Amino acid sequence: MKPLFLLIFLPLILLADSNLYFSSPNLCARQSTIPAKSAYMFVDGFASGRAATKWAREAGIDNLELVTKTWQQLHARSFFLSKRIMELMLANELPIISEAQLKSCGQSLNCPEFKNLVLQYKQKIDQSSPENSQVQKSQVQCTWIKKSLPMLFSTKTPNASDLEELAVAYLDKGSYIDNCEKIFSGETKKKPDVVLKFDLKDTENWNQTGFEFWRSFKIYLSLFWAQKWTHPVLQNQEIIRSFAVDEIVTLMADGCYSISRPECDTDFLNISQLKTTLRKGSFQSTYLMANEIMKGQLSTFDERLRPPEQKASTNTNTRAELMSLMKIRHQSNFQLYKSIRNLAVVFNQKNADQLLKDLSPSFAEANIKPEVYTLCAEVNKIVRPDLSPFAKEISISKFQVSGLNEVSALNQRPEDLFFKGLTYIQSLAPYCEHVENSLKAQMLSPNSFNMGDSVPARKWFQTVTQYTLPIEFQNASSATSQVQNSSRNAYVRLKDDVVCETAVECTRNIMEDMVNVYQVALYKGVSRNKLANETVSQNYLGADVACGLFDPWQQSQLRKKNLVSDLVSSVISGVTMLPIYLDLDFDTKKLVSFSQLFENRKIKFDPQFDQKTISTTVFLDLGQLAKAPCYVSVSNTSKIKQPNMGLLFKGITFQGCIRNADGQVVSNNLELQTNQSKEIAACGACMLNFEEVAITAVTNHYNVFRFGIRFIASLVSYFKDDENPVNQPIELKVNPEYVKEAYVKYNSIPDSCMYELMNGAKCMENICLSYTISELESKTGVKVKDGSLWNSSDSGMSNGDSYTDAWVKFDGCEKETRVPIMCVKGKKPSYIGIPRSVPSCARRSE
Amino acid sequence: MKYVLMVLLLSFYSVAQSLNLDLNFGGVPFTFSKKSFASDGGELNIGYFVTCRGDKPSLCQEYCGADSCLVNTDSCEGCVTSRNLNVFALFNDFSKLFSLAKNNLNWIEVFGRIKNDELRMVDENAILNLFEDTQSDEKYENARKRFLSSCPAETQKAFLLVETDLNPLLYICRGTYGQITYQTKWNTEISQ
Repeated sequence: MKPLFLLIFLPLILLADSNLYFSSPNLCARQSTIPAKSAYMFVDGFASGRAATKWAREAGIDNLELVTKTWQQLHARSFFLSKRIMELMLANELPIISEAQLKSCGQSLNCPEFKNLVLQYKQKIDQSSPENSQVQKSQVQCTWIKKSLPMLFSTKTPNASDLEELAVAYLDKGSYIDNCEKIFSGETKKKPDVVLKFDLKDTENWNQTGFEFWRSFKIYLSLFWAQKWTHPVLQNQEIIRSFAVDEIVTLMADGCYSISRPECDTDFLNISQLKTTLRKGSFQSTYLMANEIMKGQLSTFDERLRPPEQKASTNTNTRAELMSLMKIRHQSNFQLYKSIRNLAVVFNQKNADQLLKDLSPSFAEANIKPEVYTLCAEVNKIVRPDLSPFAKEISISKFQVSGLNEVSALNQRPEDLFFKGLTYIQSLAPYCEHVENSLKAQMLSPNSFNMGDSVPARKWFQTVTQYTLPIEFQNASSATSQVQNSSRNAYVRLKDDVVCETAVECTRNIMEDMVNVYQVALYKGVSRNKLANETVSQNYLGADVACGLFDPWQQSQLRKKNLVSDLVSSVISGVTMLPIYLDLDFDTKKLVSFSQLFENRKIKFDPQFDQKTISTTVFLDLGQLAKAPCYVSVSNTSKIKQPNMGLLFKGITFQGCIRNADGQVVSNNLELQTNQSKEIAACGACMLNFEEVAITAVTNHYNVFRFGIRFIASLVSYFKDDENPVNQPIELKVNPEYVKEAYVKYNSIPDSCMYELMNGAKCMENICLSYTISELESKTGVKVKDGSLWNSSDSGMSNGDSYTDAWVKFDGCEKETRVPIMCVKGKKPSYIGIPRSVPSCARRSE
Repeated sequence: MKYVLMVLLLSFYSVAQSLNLDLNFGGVPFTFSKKSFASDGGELNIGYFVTCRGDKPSLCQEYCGADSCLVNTDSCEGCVTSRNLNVFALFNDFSKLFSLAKNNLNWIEVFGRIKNDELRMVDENAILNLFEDTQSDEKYENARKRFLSSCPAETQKAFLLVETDLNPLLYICRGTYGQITYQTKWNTEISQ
């Protein structure tokens, strides 16, 4: 069977003298636990350009001139400082920041230890000049990435046309990459963004020190970024240095490797979802996350490479996109502030005991008011993990949020306020149990049950299982933001404003604000999911986990945060038990979408729930994926056909049934009591098929972030399957130079070349010769012009089945050189005797 | 002699009145201003300046060695970072959360903190720019009004000094007799 590869091709960029590596997911997973030696730096010039515009307006100077100058300064500062810090660190002139220093500084850059580091080492940064760094052989190679290649991202091995695309791009190498030094001459100044690739050389003990290197690098860059400098490249950059570097620069590992310890990264939340399905030690998702991010970035990257004047007139979508990103960032903080302010005000005026005392009469009334039912439903959502994924999530995180110290209200920290709120809400659980019992008794009574006018749940209640960023909360949360000026009976008041009128309202506000605080904490990637961390650390790296140490970048990597936020939402929605089942028959098409099933009335909802609400919730939860194709499997036997991935698609796998054709209950995952059960003919499942969805997602511009978790989850299913060939760590290597050669020679990539090219070798008729020459060129750095094969044990004839010698002619030499090999015709050589030295006439590769 | 006494009395009274005004209104013998300037390298920059009144140059002499000096080149009027948002958020509710009290800070220390980047100087533009693009016109306008009305009656907002964690520290409002400074303090209603 031809193995099905899922190959990840992250290094989308053509780099001179670099091979491109395609890794199987398994290999990627393994590599993702290793620190990266190459990283991309994405510098976002939007915010600084905007600031420059405002400044120019105020100072009465030319807008465009200042904007372009700011961009040039931004790019130059990013490149110069980053490279210089890396060089000094690699030369051990700038030390790795110790854990003691990190702990001592807590979550602040503004601490004596860091200030001392700046004082101590600032001069070293200032001492270098761009001219010097060019002359001296640097340990850090920087490439300016001007343009990315089209995505080579599919579930299949790259084919000939993929390589042809690569060759065409490589022929036009100059429009894809260039030297970073060109930034100094202003070549990037008309573009807001720049992408740089840093490659580190001569890294010692990298596996042990790599993660600490990157962590220290990020802190140094943050520290040095804000400094005033005398160096010509860094002078007079007031606008740029006023920004926090971590908000405008994104650092991302190249390939499958990582720049931060996977267990310390914010994606641990998705690991917590996946851990039950993972084989021990087989998978870390950092890379995949990065890949998703990179896809998003690079797909819009080319779009954004436009001069500002064009951008303003024609590229409004890009601007809108950026604005929305900015909006989310701002409003999440705004939301956080507002929520903690509300919590602080309420708890300052009413302590938990007082609130409980004032609320308890509402629970004891003979006719419980609808607002109390709603309140209790919301309480359950916070405190009962068996009913609520949100409650489960916060119980996993030990009911703690952290890292939100940047905002405080009334001298109280968000963490404390959140915990205070939670303790109070938990104290309501027994009362709400009583309310539930009372409600059940009423429902069972023969008299018709009338709840009276229902009180709608707060928005958070409905949306806690969907993908909601704080911005949406902010728009939706009206209760706490409404200012009622005239009420005299305010329960809690802030000067003229009524914060809440009753104890019930106050309690509901507290819950809403807690959810908001938690959401922002998740959005910032700082919730402390101890359980997940502990599990991961036990599995992988022992107890010595560096989690919790300050990493300013971790909290503000915008794109990462978006993804993490989605991942978190996925975790939440992933454990949602939907009251839904499928009513399928054998005529149902095999490949449909959830939407189609819904439209054809194949999807039924638990009658205990309001159909409109639940369908809305489900669609909100699914989002775009509702239209993604899913495979329907129908069975009239007692078991639903369930591929491995079924488990992983909780929340978007809909399956279930009540009775088979004989009327027997065959599935117990939905205990429904419905009069419609006779209509159900068979068991069914609608599962998003990984491959189909992956392709659809790429071609239909699905939200990659949103899609990420499912994608990752589906990848994991491959690891589960021992028989699956992808479970083997496989790496394919492509030398773009050889691809280009073959393309130029044949005007296309012949199928017969594919094997050699995909293994980093030249395309030649004889595989033995192809590998020998490729290996020689790679090891000696010398170009080989031609060669022939011989078998010295076979009277010098070369037409046998094996070869013992290759005679190669180096470029620039007249005579051939003998290279001993052992090779069977049609296979890779088992031995190549690389010469210790090459003839002096040999010409080195460029 | 009588006239001399009267002149002396009058001059004493006017000094006392001036002192009294300063004391009553928290007035300072200098003014903050914001303007463009050319730096040593010829770069056009924006900065916050302090200028001493001719009759009371002591602070400037002590601090700057001249009548006027640049205290800060904070470029915050243009920058929009999520961190600054706290300032904006505070302004949304400022008059409810804080009240203003007469300033009794040591100015030398305050200036020292500005120089050391421990205090950030901002003005109306710096704060309102934050939400210019991300809020609706109505919300923006409301925020602007709240901001402008956060100085006491008969005065207008001029500048604000915020700490590194972006909590407001010192309001500089413009009154009839010059700039007046106020320190913030939590409202009693909420800090019970």
